[in-house]
Amino acid sequence: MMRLILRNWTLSLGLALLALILLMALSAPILYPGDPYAMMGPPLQWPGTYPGAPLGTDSLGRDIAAGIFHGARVSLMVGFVSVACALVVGILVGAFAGYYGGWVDDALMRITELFQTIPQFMLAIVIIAIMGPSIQAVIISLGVVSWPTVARLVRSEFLVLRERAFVHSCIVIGMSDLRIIFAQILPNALSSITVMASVLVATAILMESALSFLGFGDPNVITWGTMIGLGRSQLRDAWYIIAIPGLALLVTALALNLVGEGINDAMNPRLRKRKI
Amino acid sequence: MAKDTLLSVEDLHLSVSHMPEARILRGVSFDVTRGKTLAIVGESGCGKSVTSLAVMGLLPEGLTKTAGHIRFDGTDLPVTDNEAMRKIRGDRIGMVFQEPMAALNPVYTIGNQVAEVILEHENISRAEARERVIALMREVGLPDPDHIVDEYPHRLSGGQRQRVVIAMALACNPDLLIADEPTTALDVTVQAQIMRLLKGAQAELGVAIVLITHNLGLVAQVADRVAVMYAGRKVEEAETRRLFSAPLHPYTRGLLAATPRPGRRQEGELPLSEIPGMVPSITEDLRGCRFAPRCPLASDICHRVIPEPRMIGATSVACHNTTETEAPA
Repeated sequence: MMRLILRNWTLSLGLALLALILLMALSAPILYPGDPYAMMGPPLQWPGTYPGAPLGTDSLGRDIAAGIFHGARVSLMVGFVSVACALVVGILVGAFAGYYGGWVDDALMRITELFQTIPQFMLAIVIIAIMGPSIQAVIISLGVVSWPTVARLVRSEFLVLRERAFVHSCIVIGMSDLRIIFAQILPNALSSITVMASVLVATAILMESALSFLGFGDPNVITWGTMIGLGRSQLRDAWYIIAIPGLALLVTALALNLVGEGINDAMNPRLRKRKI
Repeated sequence: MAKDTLLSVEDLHLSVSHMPEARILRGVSFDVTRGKTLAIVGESGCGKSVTSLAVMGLLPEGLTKTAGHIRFDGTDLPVTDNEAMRKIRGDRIGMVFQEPMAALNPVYTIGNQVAEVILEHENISRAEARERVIALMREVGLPDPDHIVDEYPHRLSGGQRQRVVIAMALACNPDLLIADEPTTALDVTVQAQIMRLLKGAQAELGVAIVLITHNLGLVAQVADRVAVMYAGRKVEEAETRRLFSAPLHPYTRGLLAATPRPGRRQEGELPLSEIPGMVPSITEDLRGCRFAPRCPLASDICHRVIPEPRMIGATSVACHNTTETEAPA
């Protein structure tokens, strides 16, 4: 396993970046105890000019580094939890639709399509508007908009896999449907689900930032999107306020995409480029 | 139904659900005796595989049984009742598939997959199941069973995989084993080993075998009885030796004449022949015998009346033109 990761530079780079962001998130309460929204020095200090804030301060004198570290917690948490919810629902729906086919498939896929016809971002905003802005509302809304993609992928995998002879052989030995679905077919579909999940986490983090930017995020927690939103009035004279959280977002999304691509390469040797 | 009959298929009809004119089986009947081997032969698309799937209750979506009975050990098989069928599948009826690679799940070790069968039907611990699996692997002739249990399917050869599939089928000492072209995907040398293994298991465990194949050489060696199918009907059924020495139906004769034999052609032996024409489509509704358009003996009645199976000597044959005189004494 370790050798496989090292041989694959996309996967190792992605995992390294992701580990760095995770470390930032975990060390935030130790390095920056106290409220990241609290004023800690003079406003609009450029990075490297004010000793207490290596990444500078924003228009209200808040430490940008503290915001980046605390924002990492929120971004990762929202990304992973919302995708975990999406995976649970999506796998259940997709697995039953793909395995049973017929009217089960029809019914479940019509519901899935109903969700897909509504633009994802609009749907997320509507759900938050109904539930009120809170971190739970953001997670639920992102989960709700992400599960149809998972369901469709899982369904298509199941449609192919359920026709394979090993599934017949499981039926023939008298195995129950649920065991065939979850213990026999699902493990065969896990590689593509993992790849998709890593990309979905990146999308969820970006959507969370977009929601926060527009002010639909939880007002009590700082996120990268909130920081970008708060800094936009200073775009011309203090662009670093936006650029630093933007860079954090970029690196996170890149890391997750690299991990997804790396897993895909590692699990699909046929797609690996041939070396001369 | 005779007392020692294990499986009895009676007048089985199968159709495509939304297309009732597409009739895949048009009345197939046969009996399988306990501990004996019945071979079902016929060319591709004649309905042999679908017959075995019907027995297992595994009909693909879109096919329905329109008439007939399938009795197993004296009772009707509850083919539509999935829960009831689950208890029978694996425990009392085992199945060996054509493609041994596809029949194994790539993500589990083979030991795991064989143990699954035992754990599904018997209440024993995982450790006991593992012991049973290792013993089974030794029985089916897999090398180094203690280590091979932990191997994944892709590490095994085709013949070894088929042995694993047979071990799975035999894991719970079934009464009936359905082998759907068990050797088609294997090398000729391995084919013989696999058939010897199946026959050995039959002698030891008394399991009845339904062997579905188009390899007549295989049939001649291992089957006790042979049923010949053509376009959804059984055209002839007899004891193996009788069928090979005195085939009565023109289709059976054509099939035998189309089987190559190794070596030089003997004096007076006919050259390898073919049966002219094509199998009629499943939707084609011929009024008479379904073989009539290709039959060298076809007469007027063959095109008008469907021949019913009748006994000539000890052979059951569905043909208007076969007469008592042709049957050997």
